[in-house]
Amino acid sequence: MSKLLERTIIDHLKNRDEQGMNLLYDHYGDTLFGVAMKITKDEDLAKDVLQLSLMKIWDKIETYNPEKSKLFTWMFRITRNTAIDKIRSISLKTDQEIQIEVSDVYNLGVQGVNPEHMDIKKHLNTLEDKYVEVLEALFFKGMTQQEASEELNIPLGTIKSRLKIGLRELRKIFDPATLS
Amino acid sequence: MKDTIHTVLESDLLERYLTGETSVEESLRAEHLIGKYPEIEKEYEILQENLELFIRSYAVEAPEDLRKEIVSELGKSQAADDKKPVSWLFIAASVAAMIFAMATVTLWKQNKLLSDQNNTVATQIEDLKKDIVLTNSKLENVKSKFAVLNNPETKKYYITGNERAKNLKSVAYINSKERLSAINVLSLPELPKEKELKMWAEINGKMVCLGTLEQADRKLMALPFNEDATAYKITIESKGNNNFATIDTEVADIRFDQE
Repeated sequence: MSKLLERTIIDHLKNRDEQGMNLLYDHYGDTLFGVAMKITKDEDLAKDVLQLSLMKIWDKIETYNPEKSKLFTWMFRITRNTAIDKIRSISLKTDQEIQIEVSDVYNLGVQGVNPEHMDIKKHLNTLEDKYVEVLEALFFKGMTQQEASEELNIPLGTIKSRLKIGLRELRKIFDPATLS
Repeated sequence: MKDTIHTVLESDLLERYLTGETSVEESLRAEHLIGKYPEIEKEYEILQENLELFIRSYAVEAPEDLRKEIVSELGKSQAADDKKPVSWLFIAASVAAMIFAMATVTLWKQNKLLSDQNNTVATQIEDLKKDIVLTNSKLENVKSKFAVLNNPETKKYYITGNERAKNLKSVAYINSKERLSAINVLSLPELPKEKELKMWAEINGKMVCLGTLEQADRKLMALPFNEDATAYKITIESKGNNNFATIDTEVADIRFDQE
């Protein structure tokens, strides 16, 4: 996403201009909703998470420091943490009920994938599963490297190297020359 | 420097910082390194871009009705912010500020009042000190007079006026040993405005003026003592005459050798 767009969105949000929220929704809504869906695996919960996250972004925009991270990185962390908090706040029983519905809800989500993301998805499929599972564990399941190591039954050193290599592989996959 | 950059890039510091897994110290270090070394900054930029592309690959179309709900919520939030009642914290802070201001003014006024009172007290103390000095002086005077009167060597002389000043009555106290003399004027005759009563001492046949005799509410007045004086005289003189005693106007006479 261009820095000019980021700057425009930030300015609108700081000016308490609803146009900022509309721009945010247009350019990041699907991605952040995808994060919420991926973590909660429930459409209603994901809606709650997205609404909560966007309201947090609206309220906390003054605390955002562009020198520390890109706007997307900052918003992704907010959405991910909100989603993780949400599912952790639900009781185990409810959680189990949600798990039963996982496949259906997720399938709905997949059907709703924006066509413009399909290329990215197609390219991501070229990334080996061993990297994807580590990246998903760390980015979508709120696991630390140690927790991912225990969950996936992979040595911590391997988690570290797969994270590093996986992110580097993404660079090759998403290289503009490759995408074009 | 190259070693530092290499070490950082080979470690997983940037990846953990990206995923929010670093401690506060590690985050500060990562931010410092990103800010200091362009190579590390560039690597972090790439990591962020890759993260964004990776996450975007999971995008799901967000419901349009949710957008309307959120924007509507913003309107309510904005209106609530505008109409938000003044918080208790703000009220408490305002009250505290007012109390502080009032206390400051009150204390300043009290301080000024106390300062004024302090000045007044200081002035009064100064006045009292002067009074004490004056009183001590008077006391010394009284003591000296008392000493004259109480001294067994002091001789007492009753002075009464002759036919020129029948109303003249006074008592003189003289102590030749202590070289002290005093007079207590009890009453004086009425005199014309240009006249006054003078006290003289006769010394070696000459009359020396000791001063003007005035009634002083029965107060004992000191007289200049001269051991060679053989007599004291009181005469009626024109005002301002201190040079010679007029024998014709003599109204009283005390001769020491009479005793």
